[in-house]
Amino acid sequence: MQTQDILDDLKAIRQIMERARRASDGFGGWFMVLWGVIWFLGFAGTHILLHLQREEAIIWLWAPLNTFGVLGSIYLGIRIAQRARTKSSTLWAPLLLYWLALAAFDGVLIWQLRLYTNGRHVALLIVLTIALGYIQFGLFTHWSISVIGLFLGLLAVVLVTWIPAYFNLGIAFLGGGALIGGGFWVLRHGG
Amino acid sequence: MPELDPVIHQPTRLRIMAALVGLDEGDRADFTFLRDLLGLTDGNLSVHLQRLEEAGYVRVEKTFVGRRPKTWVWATTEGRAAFAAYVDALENILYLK
Repeated sequence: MQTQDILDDLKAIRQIMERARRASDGFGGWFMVLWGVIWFLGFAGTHILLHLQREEAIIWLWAPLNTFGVLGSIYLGIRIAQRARTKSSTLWAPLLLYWLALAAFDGVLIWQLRLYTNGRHVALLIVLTIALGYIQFGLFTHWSISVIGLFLGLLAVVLVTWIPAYFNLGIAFLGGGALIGGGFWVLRHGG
Repeated sequence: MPELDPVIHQPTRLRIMAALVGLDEGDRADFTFLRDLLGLTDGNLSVHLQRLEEAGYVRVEKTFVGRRPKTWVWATTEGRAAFAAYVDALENILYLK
């Protein structure tokens, strides 16, 4: 074998291994991109509606967005599980149940602590819960997802403490942007 | 000069092994996932998988999801070791040249 042939073989091996890893482990990445887009639209829309003093319309913005997100997540989970049975692709069903449990937990807290009287507190609780979910999911899949979760949690606390008027807009651009950017990063590097 | 494993040395089988070893240990690939990833035909992939299975480098499991047949493929521990030895041998040849 010629030196160049060996170098070409080694390069091809590395490329195929990388492609296989990326193609099979795209669940976390696509999940983040999907929810990043929903966050961007939802929180930016909330900021605009509050600015226009149309608070009653916020629920009509989030309800279809969340429905789309849940259906999209189920679709992604089924598609990935059909392609390659990997650690992250087999996680999707328990993961869905985990998110539903977190949502129920938030619902009880909002109801019992009467957080529904303050929209910003509700939003903060939901963002922090989701940040916690990402941190935990990353521990079982890819560390970068935990980093994104940590960033989202810190971002929410900083915004609500120091610039509360721009909480929704900040979460839309920085939180949604971090999810979309992080999602594409995970798709490139595996997760 | 280190010897190269003739089963893995065949270019298509080398690519199949690289794809399967690229997955984490314990992970399985669907037949169609592997076919699309490597740009092979069903027949070509089947023939090479059979050869790799005979060598004990991969396992093939045929199941049904509902009424649809599904074929899972994964690299065995022996296959992973053979692939690592093959890559080492390539690197050694490069080093000795």
